[in-house]
Amino acid sequence: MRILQIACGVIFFAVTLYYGYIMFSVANVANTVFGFKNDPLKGQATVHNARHGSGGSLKDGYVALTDFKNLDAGRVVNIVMPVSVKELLKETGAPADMDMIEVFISGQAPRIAEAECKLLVKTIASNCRVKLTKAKQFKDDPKFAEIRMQLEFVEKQVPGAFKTEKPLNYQEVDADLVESAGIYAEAWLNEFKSRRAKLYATAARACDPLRRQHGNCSVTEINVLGRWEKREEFVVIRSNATLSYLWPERT
Amino acid sequence: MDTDLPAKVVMQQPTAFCRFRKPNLGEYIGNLHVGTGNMHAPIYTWSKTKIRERAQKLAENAQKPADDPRKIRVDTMVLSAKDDSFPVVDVVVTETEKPVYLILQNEFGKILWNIHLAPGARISHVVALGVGDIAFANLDPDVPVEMAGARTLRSCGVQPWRKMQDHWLFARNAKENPSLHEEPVAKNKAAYRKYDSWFKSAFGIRSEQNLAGVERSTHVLVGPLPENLDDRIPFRPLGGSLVIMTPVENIAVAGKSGYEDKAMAQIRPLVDKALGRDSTANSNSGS
Repeated sequence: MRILQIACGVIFFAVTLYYGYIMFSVANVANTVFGFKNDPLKGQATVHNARHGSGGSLKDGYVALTDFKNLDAGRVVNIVMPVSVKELLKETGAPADMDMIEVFISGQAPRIAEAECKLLVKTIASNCRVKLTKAKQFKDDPKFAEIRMQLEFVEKQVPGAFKTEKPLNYQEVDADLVESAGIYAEAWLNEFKSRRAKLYATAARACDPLRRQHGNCSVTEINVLGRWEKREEFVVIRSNATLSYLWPERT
Repeated sequence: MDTDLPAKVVMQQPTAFCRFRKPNLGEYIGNLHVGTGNMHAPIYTWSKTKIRERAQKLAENAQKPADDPRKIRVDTMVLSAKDDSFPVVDVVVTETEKPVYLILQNEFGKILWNIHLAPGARISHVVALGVGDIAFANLDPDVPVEMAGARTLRSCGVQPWRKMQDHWLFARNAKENPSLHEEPVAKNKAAYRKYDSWFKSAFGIRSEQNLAGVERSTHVLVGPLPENLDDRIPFRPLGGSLVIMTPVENIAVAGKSGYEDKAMAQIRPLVDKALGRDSTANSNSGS
């Protein structure tokens, strides 16, 4: 009788354990990438936490990390940059009808974005392309305008290796680039470009510790926000980078 | 409609102040209120602001990569023939016993009122209240016209407004879920009360009194319906008519392609200069 009780207890425990494992797997599978369409790894590895929510689309950072040679993979730099309108329109001159100045500002913004791409190629990128620009004159400070741009890039540094035999976890961390670069968060307009170069160079090195620890890491997004302080005529800089990496699940 | 071109377009200044001649007792008041018309006239107007916005859109579009699905492939797509053309409402006046004082109101954008008179009918005065450009076709040029666009109505502190009707979707939704619609209903009623009170002081009648009101209309009748089909009022086309309208910044009296040519001739050179391109070397800059 005693043996029967123990046997029943063991069977109950085993069933409970198995049921728990199944439920854990079901919950996990919704967030797991394995043979998921558009997965750059194409089913070579099981990756947890690589999708938005439960069963959603692949995270941009995951795609950018695993498809690192592809300019279309969604690795972006978002920049908000104040500029002098006079400087911006130096090649075209001002329009004959000043009511149309916004058209000229919009027309010349891509030229500034192309120059920013060159700065990226000098620092962090092996390739860069302008995805979009939006520009508008400051209503309360019409000598200046704000350009918002998004650039796509391929990182010079390859992410590094990850083993695909074991399930992997996808992870993103944010790095404050202003702090890491050790620069002042305020700059005169003519200093802003050199500050951005430092930020990009800092971003290029930001992955080093994670790469040493996990063997792989990629800068999958950089944000540089330059807010124009019209009274003091300087730029307040905020900047961060998203670092993406994969680490093996502990078994 | 593209060949239905008016013979002449004359600009007339809108009423500068919020004061209109009141109807007198001997006049029949034709009180019409529409949202907009269904048909569109081959008359297109657009502002300098539109030129700027469209040129800016085209300048931004030029930078997009060729494989970007959001890229505008044909540069005339920045235009909007629907927004720029005049919706037309035919006003058919059959009242013959008294001279007719027309009060024509519209709520959405520009409008062209095309006037048709029955034999023996006479219009003594016209007031048009609207929020965009206002135009008339086939109106006897001797008839006094007072036009109040958005600017004039702003000085009156009102805009054309209907009393909420039970059959409106908005009213039906409000009836089903009163708590959800409490605030918009209160706002709607307040706007109506304001307009109605102003209308009464301006014209001596309530805004809903003897009103022909409809959201979208092609024809509106002022007076009795003709008793038999043979008495129907002959249609007066826009073709060859005299059009009177509030002053506009840019106009094309043309078919759609003529309108596009004229509008793009203002936009393309601007975009070329903004992009630092030689406009003589590239006539189709945005595509």
